Amino acid sequence: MKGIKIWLLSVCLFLMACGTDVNTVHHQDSLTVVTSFYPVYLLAQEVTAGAKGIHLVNMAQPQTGCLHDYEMTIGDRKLLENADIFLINGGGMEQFLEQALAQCPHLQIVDTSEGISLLEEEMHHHHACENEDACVHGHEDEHEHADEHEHEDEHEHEHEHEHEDEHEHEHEHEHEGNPHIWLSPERAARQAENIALALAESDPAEADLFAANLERFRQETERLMAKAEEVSIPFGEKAAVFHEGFAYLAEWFGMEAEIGIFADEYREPSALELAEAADGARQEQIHFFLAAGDNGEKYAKALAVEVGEKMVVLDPLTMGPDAKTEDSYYARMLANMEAVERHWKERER
Amino acid sequence: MEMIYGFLESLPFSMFHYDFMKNAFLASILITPLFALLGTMAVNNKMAFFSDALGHSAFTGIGLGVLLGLNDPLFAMLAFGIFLGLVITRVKAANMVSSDTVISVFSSAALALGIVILSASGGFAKYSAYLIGDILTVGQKDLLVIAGVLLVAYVLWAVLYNPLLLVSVNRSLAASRGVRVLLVENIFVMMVAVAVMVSIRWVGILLINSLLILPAAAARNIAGGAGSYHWTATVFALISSLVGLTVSYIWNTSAGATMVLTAAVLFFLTYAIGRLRK
Repeated sequence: MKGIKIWLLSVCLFLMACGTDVNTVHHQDSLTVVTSFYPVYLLAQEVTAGAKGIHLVNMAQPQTGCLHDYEMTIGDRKLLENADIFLINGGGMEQFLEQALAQCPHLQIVDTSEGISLLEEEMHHHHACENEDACVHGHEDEHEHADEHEHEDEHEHEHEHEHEDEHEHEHEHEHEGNPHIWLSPERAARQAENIALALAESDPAEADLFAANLERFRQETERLMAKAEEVSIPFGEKAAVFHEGFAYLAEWFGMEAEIGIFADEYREPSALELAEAADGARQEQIHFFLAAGDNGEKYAKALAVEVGEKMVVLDPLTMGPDAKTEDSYYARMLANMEAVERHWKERER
Repeated sequence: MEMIYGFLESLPFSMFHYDFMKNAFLASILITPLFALLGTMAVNNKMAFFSDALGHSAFTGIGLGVLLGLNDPLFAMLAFGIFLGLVITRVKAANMVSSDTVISVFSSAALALGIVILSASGGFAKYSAYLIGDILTVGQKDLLVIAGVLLVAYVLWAVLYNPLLLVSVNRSLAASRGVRVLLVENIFVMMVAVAVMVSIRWVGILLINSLLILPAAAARNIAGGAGSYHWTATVFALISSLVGLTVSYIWNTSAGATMVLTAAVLFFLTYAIGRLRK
C-alpha cells in the first residue's frame, strides 16, 4: 500500500514538472502576439513576415476549423495570460471572447474586422436572396482609419467597453453579419491593415517592415481581384454555397450566392429542404456548388448530382497545413479561383 | 440501376422525383433489414449497447487512422471496431462482470481514447463527416458498396443462423451440441462491427444503434417463436425506415431522427398489443 502511495506521489510530481509548457513561456524581449484562429494567423503572418520583435502564436489548433462552438482549452488560457496582443477576427466569430476577457482583463484585443462591412449572415435556403439589397448589405458608413486608431490608443479594458457602448449600433450589426470576411480578398487586405496598424503602435521599431509587408499583401489581394475579373464566368452566375463563409467567395467570383445549406453536428437539412434546394438549383440553373471539405460536402455532392453538375471543393482557409510549411494567403486563394475556373471550363467543353 | 430508378419514378410519390431520395430509399431497404436481423441476436444476448460502443469506437478508429497518417480512416475504423468487438466478447466470456457493464466500460474507454487522440491532433472537425452520416447523401457508388458488404453479411447470417440461435438460447447447451461457442460469437461481433463501420458514414451513430435495437425489441413484444421474431423484426425495420423517410420528407424533419421515432412508435404499439394479449 505504501509503495503505491509513493509511486502515485512521484507520478504526480513528474506530471507537475511536465506541466510547464515551452510554448507558453513569456518572451521577454519580444512582443507576444496571439491570434484567435488560423485565418487571422495567416493574415498576421503576412504582415509580420521577417519581424524579429514579434512572437506570433496561433491559439486554436490549426485543424479546428471555424470557431463557432469553440471552447478555450487550458493551454489557450495560459497562452492568453502571457500574450501582449490578441488578434481576433471579430464580427462575432469569437464567441468565447467574454471568457477570455474575464480571465485577462488587461489583454489588448485587436478586432481585425473593425470598420469592415459584413455580408448578412443568414442566406436561408433558396430564394431568400431574390432581393439583392437584402442579401448584400454593406455598411457605407465605414469609419475613417485615423478615427479608429484614436480608440485603439487606449488599451485599458474599461475604455474598450466605453468604446463598445458608443458604437452599439455598429456592433449590433456586426453580430448579425457573416464573420468569414477573410474569404474576401478586399476585406482580407483591410484586416491585414488593421493588424499592421495595431502592431506598428506596439512595436514602432518595425513599423516600416509591417507597412512594406502590408503593401505587398495588398498588391496580392489586388491581383486576386483582378484575376476574378479575367476569368470568363459570366457576371451574375448563381451559386449554391455549403459553407457559411463561401458567400464571400461567391461575391469575389462575381456570383450570387442563391442557395445556402449549412450543416453541422447539430443541424442537418431535412429531405424537404434538400428537395426545395434541388428545385431551386434547377430553376435558377445553378452551375456552381461550392463546398468546403467538411460535413457540408456530402450535401453539396448530393445536390450537384441531383441536377447533373459537379461540386467544387474550395478551401475556407480555416485550417493550417499539416506540416510546418510556409503558407500563403495568395496561393491558397488563387487555388480557389483556379478550381472554380477549371470547373467552368470543363462545363463549357 | 436505371431500371430501379425508373420504377421508383413511376410510383405516385413526389419524393421520388429526386435522385437523392431514391438513393436514400434504396439504402434504407438495404441496410435496415440486416440491422434488424443482427439486432435480434443483440437483444437476445443483452448486447443492446454493443453497437453504441462500436459507434463510439469509430472515434478511436478515426484517431488511430490520423496517427497512422491514413487518408481514409475507414480501415482503421474497421480494424479497431473488430478488435474492440473481440475484446468485449473475450472479457464477457470470462464472466467476471455482466455484459452491460463490460460493454459500457469499453464504450467509455474507446470514446475517451478517441477524443484524447483527436484533441491532441487538433480536433475532429475535419473527420466529422465520418461520424455524422446522413442517409440523404448516399450516392450511387456508395449504394453498390453497401450492397456488396451486406450481401456477404446476409450469406454469413444464413450459414450461422442455427448455431447463433443455439448460443443465444444457452451457451452450455450449444457447446454440448458441438457448436464452437466462442467462434460463433466472435464472428457475430465481427459482422456487427463491419456493418456498423461501413454504414456509420451514411447513417450516423444515432440511427445505427436505434436500427439495431428498436425493430428487434418491438418484434420481441409480439413474436411467438424464433422464426416469426426475425421476420417481424425485418418487417418492422423496413416499415420504420420507409415511413420515417416519407414522413421526414412531408414534415420537413431530419430523416434519420424521424426513422428512429417511427421505430420507437412501433415499439410502444407492440408493447401495448403484447400486454393486451397476456
